[in-house]
Amino acid sequence: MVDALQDDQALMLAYAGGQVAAFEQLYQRHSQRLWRYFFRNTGNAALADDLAQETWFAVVDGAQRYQPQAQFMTWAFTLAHHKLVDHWRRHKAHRSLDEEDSEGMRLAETLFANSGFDPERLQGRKDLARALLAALAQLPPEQREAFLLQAEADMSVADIAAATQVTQETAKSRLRYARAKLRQAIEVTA
Amino acid sequence: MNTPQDPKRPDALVDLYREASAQDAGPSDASTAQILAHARAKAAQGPGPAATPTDLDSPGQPGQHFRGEAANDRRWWLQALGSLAAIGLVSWLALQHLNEPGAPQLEAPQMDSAPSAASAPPPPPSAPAAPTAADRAASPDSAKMRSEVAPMGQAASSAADAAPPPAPASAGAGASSANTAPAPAIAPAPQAERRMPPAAAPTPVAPPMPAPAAPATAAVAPAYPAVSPAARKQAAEEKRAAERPAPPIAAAPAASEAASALAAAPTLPPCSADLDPQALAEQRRRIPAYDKALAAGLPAPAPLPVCRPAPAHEAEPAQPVDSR
Repeated sequence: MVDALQDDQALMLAYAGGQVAAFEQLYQRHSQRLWRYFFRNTGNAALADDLAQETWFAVVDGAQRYQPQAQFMTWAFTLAHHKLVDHWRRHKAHRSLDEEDSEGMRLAETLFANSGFDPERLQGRKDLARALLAALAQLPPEQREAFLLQAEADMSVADIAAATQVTQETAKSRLRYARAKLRQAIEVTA
Repeated sequence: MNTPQDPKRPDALVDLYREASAQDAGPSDASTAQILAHARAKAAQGPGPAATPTDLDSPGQPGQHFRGEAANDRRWWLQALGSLAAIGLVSWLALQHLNEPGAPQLEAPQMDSAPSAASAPPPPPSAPAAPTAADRAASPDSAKMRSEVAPMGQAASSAADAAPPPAPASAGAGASSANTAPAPAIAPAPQAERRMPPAAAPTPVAPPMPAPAAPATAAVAPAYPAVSPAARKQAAEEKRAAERPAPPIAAAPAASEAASALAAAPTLPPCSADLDPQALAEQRRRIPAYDKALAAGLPAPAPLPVCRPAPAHEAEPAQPVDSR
């Protein structure tokens, strides 16, 4: 029987040792977050299903080689990032906005116009949350992913930089822009 | 700066995001079922290399992604060199061992087969020569290899071993020797027959030196029909006895031919007067052991003598006979 209080690393090692219940517990803990990461990045539930499934398959296949030197979520979301990048490469070309901040700022300026916010209709925290999600959908992909890695996987800037294979400064810049735009959207909404 | 460095720090933006996405549907049941089924299947398979290095490329596993040997790892080169060195050393030692005078030559398996033949039902007195001849017939290349490996000092011995009986002075004498003593020439016969064109077989030419294999074939070929019925019967019994315990070397037809030929072994032709001194000395060296073995009813030690030297020469002390 797998202890319910075991951390993710212990569960992963237990699954590598053959305990299927450990993986089931691990999946129960993180499947929602991983799926949301894909859903928020793609806006497509079916596609999020497929990408999340590929990621969990990779987790299963890599269980024998798993070394608990980092947080399980960091590892799993790094796999998820690779799956997402593969998907983007296969299906659409996206431009990097890192080197051109002006476009990011222009997107931020048009954020509210495209998000469907209506200050008179927004009521309470629920409306704020809805506005946040709408603003998140309007973020450039890199900035949105940086925020989602922080929000869903509890990654630090260093972890985000390592997972997305960019420098820490780049990751920090992406995260800063993303948060600024989201905060701005909320403040305007409030 | 609104970028949190510490993910554990309370973050209103992240909290609001989680609150907003709490109502998300999440993965579908079908996807969940497939993932769990895959996990169960993998767990049932047990440990094994399944993940690709790309999938495992994460900051949590630096340097431990792929544990197989790199394609440019030259460790195999050292192993290959070591194997070659070991093979060369063993070969060199074997050659040195074979080059020693009196060392066991490649006929050793013949002696090894003698005990197995001895454990069989008691054969007739002339039968023990069969396994030796059978061995030789089963591996005709061994004689060739022996002659190639032997040093110059033993070249005469090897040549005499593979050579036919010395050519008689006249053709009539050659015919008579072929009729009366086919046994010594039967051993190198398969090799000689392979070397000889068929047209050259029936022409026994007296060679000046003891060597060419062609006369051996000439001497042996007409000898088969001349074997007496008693000897043939004896050889047939011997063949049945040899087949019953299933000897390790399966060369029954060749063994039967060799046995039938060796049945008439006791009568050796006299050595020719113009025989090469070295070959004569070799025959002289083989004769005592041969006679002794025949007298004791034991298998004749190989190599067999091909002719009997003149009595005047027998007074000279014989060289030590190979214990094999």
